[in-house]
Amino acid sequence: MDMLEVRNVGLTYNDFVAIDDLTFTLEQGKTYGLLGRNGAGKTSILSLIAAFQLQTKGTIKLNKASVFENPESMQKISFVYDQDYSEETEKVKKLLEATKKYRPYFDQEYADYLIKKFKLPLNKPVKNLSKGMQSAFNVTVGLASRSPITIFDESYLGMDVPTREIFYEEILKEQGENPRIIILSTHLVSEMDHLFDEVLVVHKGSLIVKEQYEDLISKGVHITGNENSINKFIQGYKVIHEQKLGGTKSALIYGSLTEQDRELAKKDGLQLNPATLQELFTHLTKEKGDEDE
Amino acid sequence: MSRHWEIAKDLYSEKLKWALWLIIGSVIVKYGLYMFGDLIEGFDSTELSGFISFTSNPARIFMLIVGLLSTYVFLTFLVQSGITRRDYYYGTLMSAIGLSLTIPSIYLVLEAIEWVLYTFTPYNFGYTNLSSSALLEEFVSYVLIILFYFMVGWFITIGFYRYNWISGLLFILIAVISGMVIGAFWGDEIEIFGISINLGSLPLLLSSLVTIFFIIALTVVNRLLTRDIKIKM
Repeated sequence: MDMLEVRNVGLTYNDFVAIDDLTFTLEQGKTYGLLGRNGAGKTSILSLIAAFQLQTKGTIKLNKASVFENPESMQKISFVYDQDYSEETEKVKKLLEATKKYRPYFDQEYADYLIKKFKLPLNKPVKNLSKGMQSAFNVTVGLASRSPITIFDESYLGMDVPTREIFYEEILKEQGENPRIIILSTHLVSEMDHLFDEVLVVHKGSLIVKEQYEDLISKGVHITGNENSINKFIQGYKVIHEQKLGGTKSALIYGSLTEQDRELAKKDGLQLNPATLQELFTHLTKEKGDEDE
Repeated sequence: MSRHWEIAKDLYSEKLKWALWLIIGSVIVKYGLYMFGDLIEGFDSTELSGFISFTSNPARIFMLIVGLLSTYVFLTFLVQSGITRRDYYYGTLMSAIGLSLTIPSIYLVLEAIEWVLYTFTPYNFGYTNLSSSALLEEFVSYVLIILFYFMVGWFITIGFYRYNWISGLLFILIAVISGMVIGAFWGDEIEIFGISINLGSLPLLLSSLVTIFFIIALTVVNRLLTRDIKIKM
């Protein structure tokens, strides 16, 4: 089973710490959602995994072998990101063929199927494709390459909703049929959360959450009711968001509720509602000044 | 086939396609000048030289450009395709050596065809009746100089790719100076700040050794600069 191990990885540019001491492990067959605000270090992490640059400290290993400059490891990793194709005069077909050449797990039949599904014009220069079509091209390359580690970094840019749906469907299907490690970095949290087996949240270069999607979701609870009762109830819990309207208050707590507390809430007439991943992500990565926005 | 040989083969065939434009272009220009050159004032078509010397300057510029393109066109694409920088580097280097040998070889064949035509027909397309040793000298210098130009072009864009544009300008400066030094060793008259340097005609061995030294230095520097280079996204 393929396993990617990131251990104590850091990335520093002069004095700027882009990534600070990251440690996590990813396993074959799982789809990971990598979430973080702009500039949190998502793309930096992904570019390190893809050996686009060398970390300043720590190790990144695929099946116990270092990734950077290792031919066996590097050919197992596909990094799909928003590429600048403004100068790419090569036609879709040609560029696909060139990529295929170096991708040992590339499945031409699957590529043809995706081309049809995304309605990619084979004989059009890539630079003349619309932004959404260029993204569809990238996704086609990433999916059809069947690399044991496939990274999609905001690969949906410019895609319309139906096209994004195709992309999501294919990810689910692929993980069922040809399981690999898929990493999805995204801002469209609510749209893509159903794809995640695990969620990684990066904030200011550090990993603040790495949990199974279900476990993480079960930790976020909205409690709504009388302000005094809420204030009493939330003591001892980590409150990541509060809202007041008249005498009613709603608090978003992060942490598993005990059965006892659930009973207590019911008795006090407090409403319990599950939080969405998007809400958890937003409030866990909240910074000073965000409240004013 | 080891990976870098595979990359070398791919890069070589890609660049050879570009080189065909140079070769076809130079044939058209040469025969165009042969047929219509006399219309240009001061031009004497009987002074047209053989392909090797006729193309020595365009081939330098061509190889400089191919070298310049070697970083931006192939580095990102190959690493993104899961190829190591090491395989990219050796592939690029070997494709350059291959190209530096192929281009003058093709011209040599064209010169041989011209020689046959000159010998058996009344046409002289500028075939210069060189002794075989002089031709060998021309061939060796041609190979070394165009390989040097490739390496120097590659070196410049590695500078731009790895660092910022200001540092890139420094790479250009180093490239220009080394180009001048190499030129001087092959008999060019060099003028820097009004001071002209003319080393005159030097022995082939010396000029070759100096060029080889520069090629090796660039080979080492280019590897050092690309071994852990950050890929532009």
